[in-house]
Amino acid sequence: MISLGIESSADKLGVGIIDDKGNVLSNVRRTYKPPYGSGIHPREASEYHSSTMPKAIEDAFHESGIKPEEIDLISFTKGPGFGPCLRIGAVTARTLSLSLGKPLMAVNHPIAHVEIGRLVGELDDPVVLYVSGGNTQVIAFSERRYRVFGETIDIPVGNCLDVFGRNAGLSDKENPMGRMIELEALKSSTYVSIPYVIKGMDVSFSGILTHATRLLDSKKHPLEDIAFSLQETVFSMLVEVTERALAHTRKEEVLVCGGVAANSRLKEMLEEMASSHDASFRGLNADLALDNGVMIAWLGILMKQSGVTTEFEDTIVDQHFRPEDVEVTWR
Amino acid sequence: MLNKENKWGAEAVLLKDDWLGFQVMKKNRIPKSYRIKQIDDELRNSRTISESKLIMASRDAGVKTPFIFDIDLDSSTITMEFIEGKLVKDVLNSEATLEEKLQYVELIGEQVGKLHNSNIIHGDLTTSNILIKNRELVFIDFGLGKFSQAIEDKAVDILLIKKCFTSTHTKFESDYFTTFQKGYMSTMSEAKSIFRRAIKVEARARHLKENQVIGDYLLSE
Ligand SMILES: Nc1ncnc2c1ncn2[C@@H]1O[C@H](COP(=O)(O)OP(=O)(O)O)[C@@H](O)[C@H]1O
Ligand SMILES: [Mg+2]
Repeated sequence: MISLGIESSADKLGVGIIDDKGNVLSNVRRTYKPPYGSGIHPREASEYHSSTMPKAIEDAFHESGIKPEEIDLISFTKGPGFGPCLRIGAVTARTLSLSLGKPLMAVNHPIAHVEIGRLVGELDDPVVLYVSGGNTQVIAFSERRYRVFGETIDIPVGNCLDVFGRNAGLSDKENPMGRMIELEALKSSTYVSIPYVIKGMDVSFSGILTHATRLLDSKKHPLEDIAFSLQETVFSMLVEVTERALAHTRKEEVLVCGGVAANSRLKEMLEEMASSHDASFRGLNADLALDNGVMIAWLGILMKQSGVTTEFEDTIVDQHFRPEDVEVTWR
Repeated sequence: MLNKENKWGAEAVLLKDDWLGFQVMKKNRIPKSYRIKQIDDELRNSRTISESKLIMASRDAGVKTPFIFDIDLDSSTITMEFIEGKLVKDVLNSEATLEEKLQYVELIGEQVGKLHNSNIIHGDLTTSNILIKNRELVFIDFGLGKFSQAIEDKAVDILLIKKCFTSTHTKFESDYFTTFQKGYMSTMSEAKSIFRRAIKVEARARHLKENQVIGDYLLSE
């Protein structure tokens, strides 16, 4: 079975093709860049996606050498994400499904991250830290579902870092904002106290963002010290909640994915934590750790092979689609 | 690693020991090498102190907690009474009858209500942090707790136990949460305003509308 997957839940547009052996046949990724100094506007991102989509699909076929009629399944992201962006993916998937006469599969985005991680990381049953501009969750499999053991109770960690970076006047033109903050942080090892906010296995970043921004405004500390302290604090919190989930579930593997997973300090901390529990740790390369169409295509295959079918009403996007809402039939 | 004498909790190493003829549990918050020293030292120190204070205050609030023998801030270790009992988590997942399980869950609600009446926020309310000894509940692991009158803090405690029922006791999650609330309302006079806040916080955290979660809560008479 060969599946084409479409991902368009946030700023990234992905079209990927994968077969049922797990061979990645193409992985086309495009990123919408908001105007300098502003965050992502869902409407504008969706316009980018709709104008970029035809060429991305063409590129995916070209890259893979697969002909449209060889595709067996069209998978797309049902949610969570921005409504206008999700709808572009859904509309495209429906259209392809109709024109090729192939079935559709609506999939959950965080679960797709987990499943592609299990595939390429060769993991059996990991505790997953999923950290991006739009999501912050600790996910693990339990009783036939992927359950969110911990999550942010306000803003996602990537958003906290992005907004801090913009407030500090950093530009994400050349590098993603998280990378810019990492570069600043690397210049310092001076810790300025920042609140550390954990509630059970949940985390909260909005108070931290306010505090870090006040530190900036006070002009008492160089940016690099604040960047260092902010990074150390928020990553320590994330690693601690991942550790709590690991201890709680007694699993033996840790996986990190999402945009913030590109940060080498975060990976270093997770690796250290995992090894202290005799657990193995995996990160993924950016092409599969960040939002991409391959993971959507892969989860589509897993679902299809386990007998899931998508009715028309299931193809309606759901901005707040939770991993727990999906019964896992494939493992 | 998880043998009886030396167990790893979520953040500490627990060691069963003898102390002046008593069976004790030593809870040692070991340094975490993944964190920088400043953050790690501060967390271990402040959590050791606040855990000890809250354990003692809970007892005054009428909630059973282990007796504390010693606090050693140099090694971030609390030496407390060893509770010869079972974890609520294991009892809820055991072959015991649903009726018996629900009795314990109601009791949890009553006791948490008492904690909150005394402005004690547990901070990590899960069924792994409550033990059962002689059919009585004993609360442990207050390291993430604090004293607070804020409705929001109490609401977050409620959400923690709710989430624990969902993730760890899925089969009866809604029965458990309903019964928990009944117990809580019986001891906590402001229960409804706490529930109302919990609905707001839960909806915000999970990006849902309030009316999508409201059904889980006991708000009507
Ligand atoms: N006083 C005690 N008596 C008996 N068992 C205990 C006691 N304190 C802790 N434990 C056991 O150790 C586990 C971890 O302890 P806890 O205080 O919850 O630490 P952590 O913060 O690491 O979760 C508990 O779930 C319980 O099984
Ligand atoms: Mg505990």
